[in-house]
Amino acid sequence: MDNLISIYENPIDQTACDSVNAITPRVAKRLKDREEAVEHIAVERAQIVTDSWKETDGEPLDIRRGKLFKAIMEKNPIAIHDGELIVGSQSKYLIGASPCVDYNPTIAFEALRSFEGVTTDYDESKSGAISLEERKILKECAEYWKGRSTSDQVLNSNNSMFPWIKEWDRAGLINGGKAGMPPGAKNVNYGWVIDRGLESMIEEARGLRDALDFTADPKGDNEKYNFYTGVIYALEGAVTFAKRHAALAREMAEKETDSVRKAELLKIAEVCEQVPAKPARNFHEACQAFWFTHLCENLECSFQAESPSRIDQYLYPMYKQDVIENGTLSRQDAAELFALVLVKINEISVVKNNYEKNNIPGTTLQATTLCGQTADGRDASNELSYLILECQAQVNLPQPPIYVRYHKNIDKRVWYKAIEVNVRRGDGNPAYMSDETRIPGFLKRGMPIEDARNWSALGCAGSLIGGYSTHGGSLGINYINLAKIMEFVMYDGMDPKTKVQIGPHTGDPRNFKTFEEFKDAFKKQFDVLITDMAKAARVSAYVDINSFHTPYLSALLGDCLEKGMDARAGGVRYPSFLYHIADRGLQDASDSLTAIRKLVFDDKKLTIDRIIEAMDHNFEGYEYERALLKSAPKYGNDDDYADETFSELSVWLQERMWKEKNPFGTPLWGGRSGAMAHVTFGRRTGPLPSGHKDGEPIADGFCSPSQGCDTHGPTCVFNSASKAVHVDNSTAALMNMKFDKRLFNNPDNIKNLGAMLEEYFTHGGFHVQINIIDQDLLIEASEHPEQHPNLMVRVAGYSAFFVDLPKSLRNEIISRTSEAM
Amino acid sequence: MPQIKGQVFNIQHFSTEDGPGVRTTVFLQGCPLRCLWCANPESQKAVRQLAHRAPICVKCGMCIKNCPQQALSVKDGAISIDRGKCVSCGTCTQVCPSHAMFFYGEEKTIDKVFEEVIKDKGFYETSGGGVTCSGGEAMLQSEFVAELFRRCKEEGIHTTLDTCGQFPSENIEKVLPYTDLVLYDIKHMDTDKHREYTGFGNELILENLKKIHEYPVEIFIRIPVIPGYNNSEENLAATAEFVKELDPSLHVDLLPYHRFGLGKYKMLNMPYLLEGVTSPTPEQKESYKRIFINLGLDCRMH
Repeated sequence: MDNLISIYENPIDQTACDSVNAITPRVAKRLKDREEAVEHIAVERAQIVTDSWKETDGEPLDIRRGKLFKAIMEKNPIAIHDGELIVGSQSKYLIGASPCVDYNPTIAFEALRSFEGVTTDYDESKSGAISLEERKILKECAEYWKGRSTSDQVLNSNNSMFPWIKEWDRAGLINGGKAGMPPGAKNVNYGWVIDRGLESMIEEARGLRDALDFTADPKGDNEKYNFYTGVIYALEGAVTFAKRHAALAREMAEKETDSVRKAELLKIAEVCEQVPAKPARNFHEACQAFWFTHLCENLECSFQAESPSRIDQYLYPMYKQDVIENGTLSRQDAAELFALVLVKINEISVVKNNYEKNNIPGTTLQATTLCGQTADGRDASNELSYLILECQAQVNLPQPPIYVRYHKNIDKRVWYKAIEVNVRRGDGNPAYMSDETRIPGFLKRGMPIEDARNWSALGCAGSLIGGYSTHGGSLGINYINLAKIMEFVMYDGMDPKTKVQIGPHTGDPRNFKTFEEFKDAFKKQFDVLITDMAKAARVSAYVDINSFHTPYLSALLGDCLEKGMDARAGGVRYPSFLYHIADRGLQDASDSLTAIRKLVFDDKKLTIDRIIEAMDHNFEGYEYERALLKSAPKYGNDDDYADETFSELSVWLQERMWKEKNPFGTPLWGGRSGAMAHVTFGRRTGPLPSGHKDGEPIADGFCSPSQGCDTHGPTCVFNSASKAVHVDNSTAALMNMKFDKRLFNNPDNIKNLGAMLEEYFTHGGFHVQINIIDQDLLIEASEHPEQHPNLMVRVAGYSAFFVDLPKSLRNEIISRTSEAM
Repeated sequence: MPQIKGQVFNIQHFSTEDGPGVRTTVFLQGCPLRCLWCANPESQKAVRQLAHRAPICVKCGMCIKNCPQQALSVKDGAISIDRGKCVSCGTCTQVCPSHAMFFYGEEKTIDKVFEEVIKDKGFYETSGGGVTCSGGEAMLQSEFVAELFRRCKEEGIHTTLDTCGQFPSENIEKVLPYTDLVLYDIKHMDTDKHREYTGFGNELILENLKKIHEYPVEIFIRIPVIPGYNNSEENLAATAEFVKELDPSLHVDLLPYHRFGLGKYKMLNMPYLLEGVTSPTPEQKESYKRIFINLGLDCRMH
């Protein structure tokens, strides 16, 4: 075999990787401790940043933020827990985050409010435990930031400049209205820390600072001087943080009586003395360097969606060296180390505000990317990608959401492994994204191909150029509800619920003579509303940028050092990713327009007047009309009649969005990522001509069909979605699908599923997340089969829908699913 | 040239159990057999049949009001179809707002069906799938199947015929030149029992199988295993012997009995004749499979 040339880029020992046991007694212990740990709300970070901010009053922003981060690194409590090899936690608790009061104290106030009347230290009904004493401290800190914090400044500016934001929010046209979420969603160059070490980066920053001559641009150089100074403080802080862990490990080793653990603690000390200050020398150090980097990002600005990005790439050189080349580390030991990293990722906790709690509960969105291509276009899949997938299946915790980057030359061993793990876990993890769509999309926007090939997933199924761009945080005006705009079309720009005229007057639709007039009214509504919204977003972003800098993050994102500018102020190579507006509910809007086209103009079965009358009554007493509207052609069935309106609007909306500018003067990107908002937007969306009833959720994702509207199976859904030209979608186009687990009793279906995804991905598809239908959903479907017309029963030579089965048989099917595969 | 038409009762995308890969199955209506265990009762007659899907009915009464034959009424809170009066004019299906009142079966032109199946071409290519014609008995509409398969082959699409074997032998030469795989049912080796359970003896079926075997085509033998009817060791062994003698390299699929057709019998007001029969247990399935494997045949249980 040795003289055969492999068809694959990288060697993979599948048998060895498949047979690792990632759940060693040590990992089992860590899993158990995590499982049993109480989730706390910690207060130390809040206290440290508040004290630091008081001390640095009057100094330049960059320096203050650098000192603030350094203070966290020097003072935040640290701990090394039983059996740990990878160390570092958010607080003194195993699980416990501190609300980011410096960005938005509201989060702390909302958390405290939920503890009102609770006189004990821990209330099981609340998400985070916080003692009475801690509550007092947190309240004091939050009070200090009230009015000073970034979100307060954004809010104040919005209230004075754009008072309509609140009305739009109340109507459910946009999200938020109260500015809100600290900049999570970060995707730094972990590889720099592993390969170079922070000391060399500190040297680089010093060199750049020393080279400033204050001649040609004294003002600019002064800003750069402050920026570099802030960065140096921040990086020195990160090194100190690791050294504190090393010292603690040595101290614990001295007291340790168990000789095995003693050796492990000394090893931890050695690792933490090396990284992140200096380059990692082996896989263990690389894993620890990753973890410190990830944790420090979180401590600088604690929120969700810190995304480890392409972890199988930056960890691979050390893996390859230890496991494949030198054989100094067994695959079994590598699996244990990585499993410990996975447990750590799952220990990250987030204190969320109420909006986030409602929209994305229980997740920290630490998107992790595997596979994809190298800068020169070769397949980047490797044995570590494969092993990570196996570990993810065995550890079986919700985080991190893994995204496998598909491309035509992906190593099929890793590709099918991903699908196998997806079926084993059942929870849509890993999900899939396509290079074939994403890379041309980035090229179209003028990025060099090497950078485009380095993209990675971020947060809630977003995508950007990892290490060279970041997400700036939510301004509270990031989402626009197209289903609501459809409602405006039916009521001449007025919100029927609040009776406020929000959109422009596009005329009484009873007078429209053609279907085109409806589409034109929709476009006009959007056109006018997006102009105001984008302007408000630019102003909000500008206020935000000027009050919140992140020197640690900036040091690890290209090209902030070269430019001498904070990442969020535009220092990153691709600032366009910092702020975007995402449109939701196109499916509902397009299905509404299609229903009007079919029933009013083609079949003449209903009049507009009648439809509005039915909408006015939320279809009560108008079941006949609603049934007609619901059975009109719907997006998601590969029916051009319904799909053409969807695609036309999809492209039009993107192009329209591009005409707006973000705060950096580059085109505003429309984002189609995010699992968020379909429930909250739905709640405020009234009846629609699609048959949507008041308050029902709007469609989920960007190109998943509306609930229950796809009745022809997944190939037709893929075909419909392929028509929507995903290359033009700025960051993502979400597609969520469900499959019955019994389908995979036939092992050929792992390959069939892989093949279907490949076809979708090479024809414009970008993202797919596959959930394996669980028992609860099947039970629900059995109770209400009419709401699940897309469920099918696949048996040889047999044709029927789930809805056609008598209840007894539906129940029989359900009980079969519970049989282990 | 007038278009060839087919009587079709379903076109099912993403079929994964009727041939390799991701497939689209075209179910053709009309079958000479009346198997007691038939899972597709709507496929038996070669004409469209009215049915009512109660869970999605909004009870607007439009169908009753508009039926020119007064064939519809409400009985026990459900729509009742007087099949003696109904002339399948389709008025009720047109006035029904929710498609609750619908026909099983529709005459479709070859162009329309081909247009529908070609949509998934890409999925066939990446998965090694293709198009399957099933039924009913597809070979009773051999002109249609032959033309559909011919067009598929022109596009390089894999074709599969799913047949019960009871059809005029001369139809073989029309369809087989465009067929890649045949899923061929054998239901019983005893012709009398075969007649008792399906309405016909097995002579023509076994003869047609031999004729098809002369073509360079892949054949999977499919045996629906119905407890109490054809699951005796004797019958399964005889079937295995027959297959082995014909061609020991043939692949055998055992399809365990299921009752998923039950709801459709009710919707069509047809009596279900196998009440009380249950699906085979995993142990039974294993023992059936062993009979074939012991004879050296490649056998899989679905």
